[in-house]
Amino acid sequence: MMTVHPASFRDRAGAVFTHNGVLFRRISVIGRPDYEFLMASGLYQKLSDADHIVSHVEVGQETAPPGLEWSDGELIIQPDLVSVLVYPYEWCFSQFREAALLTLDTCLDAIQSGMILKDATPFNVQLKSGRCLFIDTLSFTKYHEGEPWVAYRQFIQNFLVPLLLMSKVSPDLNSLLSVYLNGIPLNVAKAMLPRRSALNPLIFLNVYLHANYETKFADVREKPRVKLSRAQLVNSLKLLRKMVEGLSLHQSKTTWSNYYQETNYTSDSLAAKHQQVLRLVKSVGGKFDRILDLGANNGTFSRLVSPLASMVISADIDPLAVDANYHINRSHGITNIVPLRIDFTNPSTSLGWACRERDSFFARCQADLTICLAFIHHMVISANVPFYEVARALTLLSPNLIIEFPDRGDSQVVRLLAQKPENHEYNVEAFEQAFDAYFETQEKVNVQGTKRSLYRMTRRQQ
Amino acid sequence: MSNKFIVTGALLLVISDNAFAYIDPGTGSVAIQAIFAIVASSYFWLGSAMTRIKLWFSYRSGEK
Repeated sequence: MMTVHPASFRDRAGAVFTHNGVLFRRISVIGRPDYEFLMASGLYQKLSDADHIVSHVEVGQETAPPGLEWSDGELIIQPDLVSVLVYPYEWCFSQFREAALLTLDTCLDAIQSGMILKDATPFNVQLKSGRCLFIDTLSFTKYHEGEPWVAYRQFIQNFLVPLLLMSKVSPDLNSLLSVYLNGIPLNVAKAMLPRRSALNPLIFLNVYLHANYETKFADVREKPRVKLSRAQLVNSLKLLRKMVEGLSLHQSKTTWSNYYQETNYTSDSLAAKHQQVLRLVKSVGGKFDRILDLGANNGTFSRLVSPLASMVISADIDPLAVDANYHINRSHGITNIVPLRIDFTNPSTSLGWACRERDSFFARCQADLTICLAFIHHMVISANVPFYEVARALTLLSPNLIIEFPDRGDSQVVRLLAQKPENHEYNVEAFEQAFDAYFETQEKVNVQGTKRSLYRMTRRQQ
Repeated sequence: MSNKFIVTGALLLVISDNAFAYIDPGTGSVAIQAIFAIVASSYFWLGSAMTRIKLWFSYRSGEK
């Protein structure tokens, strides 16, 4: 059975679909000339060799799986799979910047080969093997000397503006892209950026003046007659690249960014926790396709269990902790961890056209095992979510669960409970009772030298 | 290249209001892109000129 991907409907050049669970891309008669130029020009080979674009194979009539049919003049290709889709509003700053640089570099490479990117959206980039990868083979079109870059405004609104907001206002402001799926409006950006940003001439031009010009020319009807030479276009892309490359995170500390430096663990108890977690994960059995680590902070435990899984989705609410996770993985050459920024009390929902274009976190991030370390007390005490609600939500993610329960005497719990009523529901009996309705406890161990326990649970059949 | 130069260049270009008066909706962006292209080209041209000047001076000082 053939199912067109719900996000693949805008481009008349083709569409992504699944056939009996296998992913394909149909290239329409409209898209075929550009695709053939991409292949013949050597651009695809160059980008593919550099691991900048998702690789694919062409499906011939003789190699096509049964039931897969296409019209005359169309082509079918089978792209490599990206294991999990993570959207730009869930990325950390460094991944966002890398995706922007990849887009600009890909565009510069394309111009060298007589092509150009016809769109510049971060949804065309995904993380694969720890690196950003361009996934839209049909984003390329022939370049005609003199034409401006049609995706320029899209790049500004979808890459430059989110990066500026993350860099100069708050590192989690890429979450605005979940509201503005087609890019953050320039007027919004202008209102949010600190006033001193306008003193930077390149930001002034690309955001402030750009916003004014959009308004100014909104009612003009004629087609533009602006011409840019190839050299001018290349220089623009290079200067944009320089701007993006020069951006960094202004904020250096958040609530959880120094968790492991300011933790209440001694080195012995932390080592004991490492051992216990590893043993419990192994006792679930086998090699996992996916482990989901919720409240992963900088990914310390994700890295610990990563050899046991094809992929670890390492989620945390703190943008700087996720950024640190991304950097540590890159510097250690760890390629099977996908860091993402998620507020578990308000995870990404289904978004876009007909609410089907972008899947929710719960639809995309199902796993074989969920690990929740130093997590439950934040849900129950800080976010006021009852134990049974946390348990119920966790049943939606995986059949196996390893969860840590810090008791009321734990210093972090004491700190969180300080502002709460003395008879707050947070205690081990309430935790065990609520979780028992959804999970069966297989094993419970105390973490040596702490007031914390680890539970290994399996989901009950509902 | 000094920021002052970019600001001056951009402002001079911005003043030419009528140049893009025929552009259709949304293509205020095209106007900005044209300005940015000139700024970018000037930036790299000046950068390369400065490098050549520095090289020339270092070559001259080497000769002495």
